[in-house]
Amino acid sequence: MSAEIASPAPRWRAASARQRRRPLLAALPRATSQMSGLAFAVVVLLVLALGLVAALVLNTTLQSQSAAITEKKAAVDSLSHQQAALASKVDVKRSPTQLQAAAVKLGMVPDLNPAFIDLRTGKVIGTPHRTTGDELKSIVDAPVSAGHR
Amino acid sequence: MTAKRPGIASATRPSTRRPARTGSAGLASQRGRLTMGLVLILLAMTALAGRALQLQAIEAPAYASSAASKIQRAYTLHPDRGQIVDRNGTVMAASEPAVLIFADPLMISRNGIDERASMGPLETQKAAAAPKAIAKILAKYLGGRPEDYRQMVTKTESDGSLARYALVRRHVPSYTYDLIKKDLAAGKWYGISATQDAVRSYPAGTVASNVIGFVNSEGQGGAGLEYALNKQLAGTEGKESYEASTYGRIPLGRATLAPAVNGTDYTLTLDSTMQLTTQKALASAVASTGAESGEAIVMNVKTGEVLAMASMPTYDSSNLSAATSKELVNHAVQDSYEPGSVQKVLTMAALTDQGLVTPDSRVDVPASISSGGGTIKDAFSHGSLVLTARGVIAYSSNIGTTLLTRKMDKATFIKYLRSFGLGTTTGIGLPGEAKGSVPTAAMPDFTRDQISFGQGLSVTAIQEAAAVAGIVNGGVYHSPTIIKSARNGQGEAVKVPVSTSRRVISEKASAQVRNMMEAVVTLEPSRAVAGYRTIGKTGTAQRIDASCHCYRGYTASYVGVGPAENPSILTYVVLNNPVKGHEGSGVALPVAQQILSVALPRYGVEPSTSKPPKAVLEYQP
Repeated sequence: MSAEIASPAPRWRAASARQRRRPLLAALPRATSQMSGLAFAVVVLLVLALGLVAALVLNTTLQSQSAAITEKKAAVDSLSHQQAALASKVDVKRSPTQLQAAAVKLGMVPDLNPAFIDLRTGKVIGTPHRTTGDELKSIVDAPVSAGHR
Repeated sequence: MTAKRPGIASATRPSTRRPARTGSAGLASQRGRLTMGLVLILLAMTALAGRALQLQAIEAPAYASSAASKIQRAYTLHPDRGQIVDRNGTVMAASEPAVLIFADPLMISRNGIDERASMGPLETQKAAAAPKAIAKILAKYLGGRPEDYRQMVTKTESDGSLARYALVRRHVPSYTYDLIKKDLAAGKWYGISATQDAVRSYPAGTVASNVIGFVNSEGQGGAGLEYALNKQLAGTEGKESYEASTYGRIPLGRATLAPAVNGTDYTLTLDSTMQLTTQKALASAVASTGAESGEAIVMNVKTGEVLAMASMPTYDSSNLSAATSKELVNHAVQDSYEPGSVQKVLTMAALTDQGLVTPDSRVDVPASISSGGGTIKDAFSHGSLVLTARGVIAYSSNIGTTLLTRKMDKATFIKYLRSFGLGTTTGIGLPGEAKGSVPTAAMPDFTRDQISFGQGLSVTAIQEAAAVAGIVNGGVYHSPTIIKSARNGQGEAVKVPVSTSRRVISEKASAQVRNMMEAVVTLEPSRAVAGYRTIGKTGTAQRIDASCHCYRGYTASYVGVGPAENPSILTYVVLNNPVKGHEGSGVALPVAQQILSVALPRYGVEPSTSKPPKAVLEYQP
């Protein structure tokens, strides 16, 4: 008679045995807390209210900004009108007709005999004469109507 | 049908009632009513569904569009008309935002309260005070007395009812209207409105009016450069649209903006100060000689740029209602006339360039010569003279000029005249420019004789000035220009007509002609311009009277250039039909002399340092 050493049972078989002892499916633990229907409704209402307030604030801000823009635009228009009116007055003041009249009023007369100085050499070109004011009297006195606005 | 709906049947028809309705006719009647009712309901439902379909599907785009248009606001953006400035930036024509103010007397009588609404005692009291208060505000800003505006704010129709529209004032600067609006708003007065009515201002008044022109009441250029450049000056209209409610613009609503493109700004070659002097000198001469009209041009000889262009009679572009049709003419470019002896400069230029004449060429000048069937005489009586070509020009001898011109063939002569720019427009860019007329090479001999001294052909003042400028400018002709540069609404440079240059005679011939022209000035000391050597030529031409097609009256003219050593500034003065004196030397020369005496120092031309050469006018045979 021969004796044979018995080989140990395979590991998987042991594990399998353990598994067999446990249930194959186990229920997950239930959520610890669940929002009640009332709370949910309150939250929804709050979100809705906040949304409405935000929309109202946004709309009001936009309206107020729009009104401000309109106001500023009106101010810009008025200022540009004022600038145009002032520029028009300056144009008239700068016109040769007005300048000549103002010069005559100040006692200025045209000088037809100017002398030139060559700045490089200091040489005077031309002979300056005393101006009496009668040289171009007929021209100065000729009537030419000034511009007006 | 209802029997198939058990719920309803059981609720509305208790079985206990059935036995009471025993007759088949009654049942039929009930069913008939029900059926009828249901049919009616069905029809009504169908009609409503149809209408809903019509509104929601078929006509939906139209309603949507109608709704959109009701909240859509759109208006035209008006561009600024371009400015016209002189070479130094002095504004000669500019647009200013302005409005037309009008009143609504009915609205004023109720101070803005709708006529369908009833007014309380306070409102009635305020409305009664409105016309007086509004008239006071209008008078404060528009000038005059409040009484002047009372009629406007209380205007009635022919049937005695209050009007809805009364014009208060046109062309009121927008800023003035802003101030009026402010006062009206502060007092809570209603009934004054305005529409855009831009005004074109001409700050220099009559200065260069005949060149600048004017803008008519429709905002279109009516004459001068305003007319010729109207399209470019006007710019392009823009458009803005946005959505708005009763309370104003809807934020984040649909909006479009196509900005207006402003008109092109033009810078002219004109110098408004020189223009004023030229106009005054010409106006003074026209008045003192009783001339019908006159024109004067100041030109830069070296570039062809027109520095001044005066025309008399003239008008004020900003006071158009006072202008007459005669004043609107720019005689310097629109009138063609026989130039008279100034033309001898052109004749001598052709002869010297051909090598046929020099300033010292000798000419035996008899008392008269025959030409065609007539006789040519000089303006001054003389016997036989022995003149140099220089003397012919200095004394302005028609006979001498004719005899010298006969040396040249007619085709060559005409070719020269055309190369000097006669017989065609100069292209200066002013409207209504005349061409003048130059005979063809096939002209008869007597015509050749006549045109040699400035009769038998016609020119414009700008043609003649440019021709002489080219001749004295070393023989290089520059076509005249009056527009220096331009910038469009975006500030980009725009092409403008440029001066074209060409050699018309040699430098030597130019010097010879200048030599002859200086003899005209040195002939009499009174012709000189103080401090400068100048050259010139007088002109006195018989004038064709259109009413009789005969010669009646004169055209007196003078062209002067300075300085003689280096011609820079040219002045050409023409007086048409003067009655107190008619010779160019007597009436036109002093004007040109005055203008040159201002122009030469103004443009930095140094006084002459040399004396004019001794002019040999006659020779010893």
